[in-house]
Amino acid sequence: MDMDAVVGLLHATIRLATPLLFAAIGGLYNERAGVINIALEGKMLLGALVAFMVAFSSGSPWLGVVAAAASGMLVALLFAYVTITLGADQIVAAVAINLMMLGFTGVVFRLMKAAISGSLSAPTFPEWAIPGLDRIPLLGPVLFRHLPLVYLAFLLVPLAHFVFYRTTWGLSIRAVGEHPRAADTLGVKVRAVRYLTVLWGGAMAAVGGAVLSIGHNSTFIENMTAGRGFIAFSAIVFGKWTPLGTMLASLLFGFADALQLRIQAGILEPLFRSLGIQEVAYQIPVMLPYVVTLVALFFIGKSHWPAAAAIHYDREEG
Amino acid sequence: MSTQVRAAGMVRMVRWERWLHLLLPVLAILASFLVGSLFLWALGVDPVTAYSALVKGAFGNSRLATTTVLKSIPLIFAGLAVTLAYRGGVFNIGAEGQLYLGALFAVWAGTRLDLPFPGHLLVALALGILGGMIWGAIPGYLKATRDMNEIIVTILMNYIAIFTVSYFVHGPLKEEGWNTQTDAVAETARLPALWAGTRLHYGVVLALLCLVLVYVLLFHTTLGYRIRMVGANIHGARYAGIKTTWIMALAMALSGGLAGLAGAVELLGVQYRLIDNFSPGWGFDAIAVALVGRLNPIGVLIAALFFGALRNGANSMQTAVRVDVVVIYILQGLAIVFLIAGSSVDNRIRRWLDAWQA
Amino acid sequence: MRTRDLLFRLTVLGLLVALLAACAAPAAPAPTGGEAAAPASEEPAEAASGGQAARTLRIALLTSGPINDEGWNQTAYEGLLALQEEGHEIANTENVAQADQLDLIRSYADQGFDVIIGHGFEYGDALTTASQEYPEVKFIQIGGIAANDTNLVSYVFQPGEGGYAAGILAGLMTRSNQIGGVGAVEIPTIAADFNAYTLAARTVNPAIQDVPVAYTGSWVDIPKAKEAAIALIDSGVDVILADGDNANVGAIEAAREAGDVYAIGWTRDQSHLAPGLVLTSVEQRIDNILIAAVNAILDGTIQWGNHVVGFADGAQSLAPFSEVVPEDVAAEVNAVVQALIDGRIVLDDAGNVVKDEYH
Repeated sequence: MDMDAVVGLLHATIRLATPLLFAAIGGLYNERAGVINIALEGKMLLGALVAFMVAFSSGSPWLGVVAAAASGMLVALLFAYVTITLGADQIVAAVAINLMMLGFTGVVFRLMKAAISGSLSAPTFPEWAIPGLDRIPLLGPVLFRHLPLVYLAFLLVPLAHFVFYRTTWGLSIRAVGEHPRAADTLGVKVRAVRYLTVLWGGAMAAVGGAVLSIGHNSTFIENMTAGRGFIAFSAIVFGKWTPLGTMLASLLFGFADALQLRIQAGILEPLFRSLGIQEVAYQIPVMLPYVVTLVALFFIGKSHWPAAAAIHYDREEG
Repeated sequence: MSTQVRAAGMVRMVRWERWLHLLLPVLAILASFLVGSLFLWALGVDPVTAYSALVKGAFGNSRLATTTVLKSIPLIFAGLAVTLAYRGGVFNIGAEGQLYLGALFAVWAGTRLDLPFPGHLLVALALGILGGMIWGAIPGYLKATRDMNEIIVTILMNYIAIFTVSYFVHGPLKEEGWNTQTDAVAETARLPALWAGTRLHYGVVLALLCLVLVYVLLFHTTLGYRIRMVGANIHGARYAGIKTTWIMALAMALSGGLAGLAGAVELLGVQYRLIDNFSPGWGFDAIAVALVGRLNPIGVLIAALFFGALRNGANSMQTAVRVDVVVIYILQGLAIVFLIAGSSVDNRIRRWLDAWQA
Repeated sequence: MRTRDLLFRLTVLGLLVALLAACAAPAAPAPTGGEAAAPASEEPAEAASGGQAARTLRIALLTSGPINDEGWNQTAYEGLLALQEEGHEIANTENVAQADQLDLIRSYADQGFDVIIGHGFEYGDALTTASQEYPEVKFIQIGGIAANDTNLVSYVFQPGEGGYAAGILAGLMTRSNQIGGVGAVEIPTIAADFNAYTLAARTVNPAIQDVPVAYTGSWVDIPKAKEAAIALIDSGVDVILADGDNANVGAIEAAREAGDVYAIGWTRDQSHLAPGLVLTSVEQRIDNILIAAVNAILDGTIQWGNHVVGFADGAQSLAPFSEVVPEDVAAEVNAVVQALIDGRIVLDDAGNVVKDEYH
């Protein structure tokens, strides 16, 4: 494998990890506060659509991202109301929201498509090469020639680390996730913390969707997130509920995906030929990222949920 | 207030509570229809026409009504699967993958074995259970031995199952020719129709049988008691000497078996061939069925019939008012949200009543 | 109180933005969604009652995917719209689950539809059953071979023909002598097309060796299709045959971003996705097939049975070439298409060349 191929592989790894990272690092906040959120998928899908629509009609991809974040919050609010205020089961509420978003985005996109004749191509972000740094051999082209959203996603990781472990906010979030009753006694507003973290998670998941529709691509289609929200959710668990771990998990998945596409593109052809393998069914490489994650999970061992994860907190309950 | 009057008041309150318990889900469904109506109206569709088409499509005549039952069969099995695991404190999001594996094993038996009628069918069904059970036992085993979280493992295994099935459908089990589908299962392995002339097959009997079995298992056996104890209070269960991890693994394997049966019965009773996109997401709908059904076998039956009716009626509604098919997902999602919100409200009211009575 | 205050503000902000977003785009189209669709489907019926009542049929189409997929299902829907133009009344259901096929077909038949179209091989069993239950209804299947001799006709594209023409073009246009393909799901007809693509390219350009094809495993995952195309481009490929419906959008976008990589589209003219860089598209003219079939049903000249269709029947065609394709190359590709039509080049069902009197 020559240098260019390595750069290509690693650059693709980061690209593929970015939407997952947004959704996962945002979701990490509400997971740490004890709210399990597999509705990331629906929020990503909505974010992808809203970002595309707003960028398309306003001409500004940044406005698209902001609108996506707001739309993600709106759905998160519904999720939060049903689960935190009413105390409904978090997973089934998420299943419902995913279904609704699949339908809603489909309907709205069709209306938009019916109204606009001609090409449905939204303005996207230009690549920001970081001057100087992008000249470093290998690292430069891999790390410092990306869309602005990519840098943003990776900056959210140290931010999350800082918030969780160096601020009272972070302490409150973790306390709410581990022992809501104790946190409550100490004056932490359990519901408020959960609401806020769910809203933040929703906003970030939607931005992750925006990366798909107006970041690395310039269009939307129905169900284009294709399950990435679930993978982002897995990345949180896999990353043991830490920002750094979540990032590494997202990168591992991105790497496996980038690699399998290159296997299909023929980089292992000489190896296969020397082994006498004529043809590999495409399902095997396509499955690779999921298998790799599962195997990695096996070796990485225990990962403990926040003690109060998925448990509704009600002051009046005994 | 004399005790007598107070007692009478309580009796009245208890009756009222029971009615509320039944009324709330109905109200929730009506509320979801109302919100759905607003949405349909915004799309320029007359909600009354749309919903009457939906109801007519689900129950309009005996053929449509049997189709509604037919559509709810996989949801009953898969809903029971999720219920059983959840009762044991394990969240099985992998019913989708397990039912794919069940269908895969069943189609292998149905197309590759040559046996006489009842035997062939029974072998295919048994293999279907086995396929789902294996796929459910893996996350169960990993949870028990490595403390690996079942939610993420089942999510990942769903993908692996779907691509594995795709591999077999495109490769070893593919029929001759241009179509990416397996051969149709032999007549001897098919579930016979209940009555001649309808598509309703013996799977419905099997579903009801499983429903009773799950009920008896959960509420009338020691194993079921242990499963429920692990689900309700894992620390207490551990303290009581129950091997909690193994109970969880067992619950997960049994759950997988039920989900596998969902796939096998659909395959042997309706579709006969395995194909990519065999399931329209029954495994995920099953989560809603189980929780809307309040993790109770009877509740699962009612919820499965409700979602089956929604699904079947939606087909007619879509052809009658020409509304985009994706609208159905919104209506389905709304129904789930309102039903679970309704059941939360119900719990709260009951708690108030308890407090009042005490 | 501060958190509550913030929560309130965030909520208001969220609501406002959502409102704005809602007003920005869909507000205008909202009326067109419902109202325009309804009269459009009634008009022809009225026109029909005026004059040529006998020639108007009620036609329903079932597709397994969405009708805006830039590919297989969209071409069928456009074919259905073409039938509407002809004066027929139309209806369609999309995203049909395998388990719902027969119910939907019965629902349309019970509503009195005259012709019901199942778009894909996967409708074979359901159409066969329904054609026995409703002998008075006519059934059309596209993409399969399930026909009977009374009321079910099937059309399937000759696998490999489109891929063969695309391969000639790719072989002549590549500068790196490396070509590749992106697909969504490997089904036998697509595999046959990629096989013919490889063989044809090697015929005109012996320097071409392996022709990698990357599949995404999903018909809707545009981002992954784009990454698949980038993986090919990274390995030196400079002509990509995109054969994956919606996935094509991503694959062709990768070519556009690379700037100097060519793409060949599939099922419909996809030149708008990357102007100049889409050399041509292999069009599957489902509109032509449907119009011919429906007219034949009306005339009573329909040949019930399985039909293998291709360039020769006008069922497949090449979209206009991009301006970067030199005239002699375009002429050569057209000559090969003619040779396929004349039977001087014959392919088998796997896309292998069984006869080549042209080269």
